[in-house]
Amino acid sequence: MRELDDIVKGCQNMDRKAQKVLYDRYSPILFGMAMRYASCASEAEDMLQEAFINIFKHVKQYEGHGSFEGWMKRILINAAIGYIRKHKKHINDSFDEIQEIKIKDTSFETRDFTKEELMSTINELPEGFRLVFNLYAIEGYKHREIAEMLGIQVGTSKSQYSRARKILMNKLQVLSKMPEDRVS
Amino acid sequence: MKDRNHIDDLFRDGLSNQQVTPPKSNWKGMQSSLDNMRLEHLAKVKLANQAITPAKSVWQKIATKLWWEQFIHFSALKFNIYYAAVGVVGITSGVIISNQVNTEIYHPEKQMHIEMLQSRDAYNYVDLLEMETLNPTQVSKQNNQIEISSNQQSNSGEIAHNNNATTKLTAQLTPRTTETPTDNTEQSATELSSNFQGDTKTRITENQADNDITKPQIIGMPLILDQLVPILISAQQIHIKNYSERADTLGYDYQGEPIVKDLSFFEQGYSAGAIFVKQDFEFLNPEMQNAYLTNQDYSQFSYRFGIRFNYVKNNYIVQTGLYLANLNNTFKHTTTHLIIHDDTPKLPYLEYTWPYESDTVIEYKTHEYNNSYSFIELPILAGAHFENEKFAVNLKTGPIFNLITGVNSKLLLESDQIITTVQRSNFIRPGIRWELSADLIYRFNNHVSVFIEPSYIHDLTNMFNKNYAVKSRFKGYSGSVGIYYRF
Repeated sequence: MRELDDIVKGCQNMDRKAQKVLYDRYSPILFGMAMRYASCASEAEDMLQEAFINIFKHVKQYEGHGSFEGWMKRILINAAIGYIRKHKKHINDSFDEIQEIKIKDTSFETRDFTKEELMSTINELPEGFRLVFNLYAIEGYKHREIAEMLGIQVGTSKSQYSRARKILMNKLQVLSKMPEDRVS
Repeated sequence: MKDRNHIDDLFRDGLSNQQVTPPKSNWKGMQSSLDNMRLEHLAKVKLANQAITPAKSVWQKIATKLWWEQFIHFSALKFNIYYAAVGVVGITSGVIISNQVNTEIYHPEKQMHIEMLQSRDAYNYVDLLEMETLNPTQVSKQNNQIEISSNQQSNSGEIAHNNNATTKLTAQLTPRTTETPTDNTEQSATELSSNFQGDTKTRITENQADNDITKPQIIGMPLILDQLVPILISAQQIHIKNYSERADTLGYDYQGEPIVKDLSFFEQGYSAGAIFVKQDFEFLNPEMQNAYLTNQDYSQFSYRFGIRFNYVKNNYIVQTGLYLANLNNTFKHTTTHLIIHDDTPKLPYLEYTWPYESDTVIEYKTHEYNNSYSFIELPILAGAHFENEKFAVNLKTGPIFNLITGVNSKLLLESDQIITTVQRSNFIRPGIRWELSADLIYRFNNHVSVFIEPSYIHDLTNMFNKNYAVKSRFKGYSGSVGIYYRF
């Protein structure tokens, strides 16, 4: 813990070595997160870059309350949202666009899905669905918080999550019917 | 009592082990909830903490961006190592360049010829450039005669230079022109005789209005051996370049390089122009650690006018002046904090603190801001000056120190309903922006010229104080026209 404090202090003084140590230690965790929010690796790299720049810019504001890793994860999430705001259409547009997708209720067989399979399934989700699903199902935010973060209504967040879940189930059902050796 | 026990036993015996198969629809209903739980469980367990090592290039990009971040966030009040480094590099470059320039100008042999020209002595220039083959070891001195000779060419040129003491210099020259001016004056005992053939060229450079080119005068300054031999030796190593003729060319030095008057003048100008600016806003939410840039910014007509002063010396220019600028823009964004719930009229962006969820009713509405900022600007630009008869170009770059002197702002809802209007606020804030520009000049005469000036400007400093939750910078292009008066 002492060591992390030193690293954070170094980063607060803009010490390049400390920044590199922090990056080496936490970049795999944050990149793993970024991959869930992005549709491809290059997008995830951009999000990671943006997040680390913001981490180093605002590390002075971190006062030691709460987990530093949690604080960084929060910044990555904000960077991911910011990235989508900046490079994609408005998030609301992305929701409107996919209102018309017809989704039927379905179920999926139990199979031991690999991380790669789950990741590619999430990556294939439309932008807005992916955001809401990640924030709600994996990060554990409440719909009210998600609505606030994305600038959407609470009801929109709930309905998008429900739709995202159905799409995922459809995809997992297809996956579960395929022999495991055919799934790359 | 007995009956009561009997009834209890009856139900216990009859129903305690009863099994009833639920309807199939019941399971389907449950299955949906279970699937949801399984999906969330799968996602959380498999993906929540997965670590993937990013490509090595990502750190390089971050490091580069950090460098620029630190470089660009200039603060006049805070020591910045990068700006210090740029300053050191700039000063060092300046010293090196000025040394080179000085070396060029004050080269002793060259200076001698310049002085001759400036003293309006006739300058007979024998092109020594072809003496590259001359071997300085073949310099011999006999009595008062010094002979420098080489045996490479069948044609030979001979310069005899005789002042008080008779000095004779014989050099092998590659033939260049047939034009061979020779003259003897009674006042001078200098003797110039040459036997040039082929294209051996003797170039006579002088103010031709005052001196008849057909009667060139003889070198007025004695060429003594100690001066001439180094010239001949250095001539062997000179790489000859083609120099373009200029109107202000006085003549040519021994290297064939044009000798021009030192160009040095002051110019005063007036300019006015349009600017197309883009205003970058960065919102920093301290509660959410959120920072994002938004680009929904629409330029409106902006302008700048003012007075400027140029000082030109040879190929360098320094420019300063005083401009008044008015930068306008329309800016749209969707807020998560609500100005509409605050009844006090305040400056959009300028006076609001970022509200926290606990004390703010959060609504999401798109607002439009019509902003108009007034500036006083003080440019200090430096760069290169090029001149060719009627046309001249100034390429320049440097900081513009500016002061926001007032803000007019309107905040509207999408329905065009005005929420807040602020007129002529006394918001004052200093800042620095960088300009890169070019003056394209046409000279009517020695005094009056007109110019057009395309330029690019970029704010280096935030418009607002560092504790404010919004950062903003202008960047944009401008085009100005104006007139210069040259003193």
